[in-house]
Parts: sequence; structure tokens; C-alpha cells
Amino acid sequence: MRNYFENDYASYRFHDGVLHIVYHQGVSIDMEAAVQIVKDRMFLHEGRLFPILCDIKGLKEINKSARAYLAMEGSTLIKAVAVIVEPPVSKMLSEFYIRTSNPPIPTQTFEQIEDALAFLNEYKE
Amino acid sequence: MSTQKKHRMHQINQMLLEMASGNFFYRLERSAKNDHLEAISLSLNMLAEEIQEAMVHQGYVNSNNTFVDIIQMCFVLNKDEVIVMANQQACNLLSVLPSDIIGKPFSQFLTENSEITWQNIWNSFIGQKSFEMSVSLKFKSKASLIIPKICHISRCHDKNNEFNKTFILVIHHTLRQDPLDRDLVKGITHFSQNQKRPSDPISYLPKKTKLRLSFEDIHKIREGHNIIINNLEMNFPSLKIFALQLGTNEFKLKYGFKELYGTTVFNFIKQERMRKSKMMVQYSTQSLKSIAHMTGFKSIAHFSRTFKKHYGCAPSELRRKS
Repeated sequence: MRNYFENDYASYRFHDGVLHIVYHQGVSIDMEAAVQIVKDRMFLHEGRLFPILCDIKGLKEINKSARAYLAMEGSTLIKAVAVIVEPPVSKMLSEFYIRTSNPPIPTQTFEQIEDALAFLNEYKE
Repeated sequence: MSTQKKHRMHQINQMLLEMASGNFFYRLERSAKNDHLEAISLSLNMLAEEIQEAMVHQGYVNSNNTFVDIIQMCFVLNKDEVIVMANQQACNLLSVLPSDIIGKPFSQFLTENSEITWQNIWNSFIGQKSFEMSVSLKFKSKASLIIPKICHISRCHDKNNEFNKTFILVIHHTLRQDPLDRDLVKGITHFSQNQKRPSDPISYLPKKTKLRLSFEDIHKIREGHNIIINNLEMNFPSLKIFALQLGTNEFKLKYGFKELYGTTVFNFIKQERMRKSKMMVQYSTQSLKSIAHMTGFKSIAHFSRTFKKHYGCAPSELRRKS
């Protein structure tokens, strides 16, 4: 199983049963990017379910159609998502997303990585 | 307050004014800063997107309104990429006078990133007599607000290749707000004046019994929506029972669901089952049989049939291709 992967928008790394996704600095996500991001992630999953730690501190914006895609199609094979943010911008982005796009999997915002990992712990195999 | 901060506050105020006037297609320019003003800019941009979408959706579900595509902006460029003609609406939206726009290069009205995209396109088609394409570009108004749009670009030429112009059209999807229907009803009223004089012509408008949904009703319907998304493998009960489970009635659920999500409950279930199964077929290693079960199908034959009807190819074909 591949442990590390990177595309134009984010890097993916498995660590201790959790898939860590870190968005690159200053990226904007549109529909095309969202599809690529999900496709690459699914490839790494090899059909298995994982909890995800998603660091969006570098993310600049996600447009409406990309938000909808990430919330619906993008939730496939995910047990839970902990979003790592840095207030105020990425925190607002995450909370806006959770509130309006309503992802069907447990999704929570965290400022500290330890809290995020503690939250994901109960979803680990 | 620093000048830069003042400028950003001014832009936010401009954006709020535009939104208050019903213009939800403007966006604020974003920076790499991580401060409260930037958080507000981000939220305003996303809020405008949400409202814009909700308004089109309203038009979609409310059959009394039809929605239309109008040409919002139109530019004609000469062979040097200079604007030779533009419609009045383009001037209004970019808050410039026609004299400020004519004779200027088109790229001057784009954001920095879009300028690069545009220059690449323009350079790659230099010398071509004709071409046609669509591209997403961001316009920048004089007040520094951004208008992201899909632009349809086409270049035409005449018989002698002398007249060589490039057209840029920007289409906007909007609700039709014309009083035609009312005029029509008025016409009918005049026509039938001899028979019976109506006290008020407006009362002759076709009345659609519109159910008012309370906040609580909306909340219950949203809960139903979430239950569906999270339980696609479930065998769904009848609408009547589902409504009772949610603490509402069949009529409210049926009407309200369509009002909120633009589709019927059962079409929505089917659509979400298809969406989930497509992702699973493409990317998971689960057998088609278990995907069928996970998305609420009793038999794989039924699943395959529905899938093929929906996507035009059988799940097994898609799996092979993936």
C-alpha cells in the first residue's frame, strides 16, 4: 500500500490508521479540483474505510459546486473527518462547509491536532 | 485604521450593497491574510454563492416562475485584443462608462489570474480565422469586486477574411421577472368585461395554494433528508409512515421536500443511491453484490438495470474501466 502521495492541491499520508490530507498553501478548489482530490484519495484507500485528518490551513477557497461534491461524493469510504484549522479564515471556511454542505459523515473542526486525533481515535479499526 | 484596511472595509461595504440590491454574482477579491476581515470576505463570497443557488433553485421548483438565460455582458474585440464594442449592461456591471471600455484591451477588466489564463488563450489562437471555446474568467469591476463567469468566446471572419472579430458572451442564469402573465390575465379580464366585471383584476390571477412551511416543518424535512443520505441501504417505508416518523404529515413532507430540494422523496432516494453506488463501483473493491445491498437493492439484477438506465453503462462495465 502506498504511504505518500501528492497532487496539485494536497498531500496524502497514512499514519497510524488515519489518512492525513494537507492542502497546499493558497489553493482554490473548484469542481475539477474536487474530483481530482477525491479520485486520488480513493485510489490510496484501495477499497478500505479510513478516518481522515484534513488540514485546511493553507486552503484559500472552495466554490459551491466543489463543496457539494466533497460533501457527497467526497464522503465515500470515510468514517469520520477531523478538520484542522487556523482561526479565523480556515475556521470560518470549515464551519461554513459543515453547516451548509452538511456532509453525511461525522465532521468536526479542531485547532489542535491532538484533539483531532482523539476524536478520530474512536473511528479507528 | 490603515489605508489598506480602509480599502478592504470599503470593498466589503460595496459587496453588501450589491447583495442588498439583489446582485449575488459579485465576489470579493481574496488575499493570503488570516484576519477577521478576510474571514468576513470568505463568508460573504460563500454566502453570495449559496443565495445565488437558492434563488435559481426557487425558480426551478416554483412552476409560476420560469428561469431564463440572458446575455449579461457582450464584448467584441478586434484582432489586437482591443474592445471595439460592449453592451450597456457590461458597462453597468463593471461600473465603467462606455468610453472607458471601448479602445481598451479586454484583459484590463480581468483579475490578475484570469488575465494570465486569457493571454494564454489569446496567444494560442493568434492568426486563427475562427475558433470557439468556453472558459471560466473573473472580471474585476471598478469598485474592485469580482464577477466570476463562464465566457463563451468565438471568432468569426467574413468571406474575404477582412472582417475578423472575436465575440465574448457572458450568459447569466436568472429568474424571469416579467409581467407578461399578469398582462395576459388583464387581457382576459377586458375581454370578458361584458359577462362579469371583476372588482379587482388581480384576484383573477391563478391562485396556487401555497403551503406555508414553518421553521419546524423545514427542520423536520431536513432531518428526513439527512436520514435518507445516511441510510441508503434501508428499505424505505411509505411516505405516510416516513412522515409520521419525522413528526409531520404526508402532504407537508411531499410538498416541502420538493420545495426544499427540487425533487420528490423517492427520486431523491434513487438519485442518492445511484450517486453512492457509482463512487463505490468506481473506487472501492467491494463486490457489486454488496454495493447493491449497501445502496438498498434487493437483487443485483435490479441494481444493474437501474444503474445502466441512470448512467448508460452497466456497473460491471464501469468497474472494468476503473
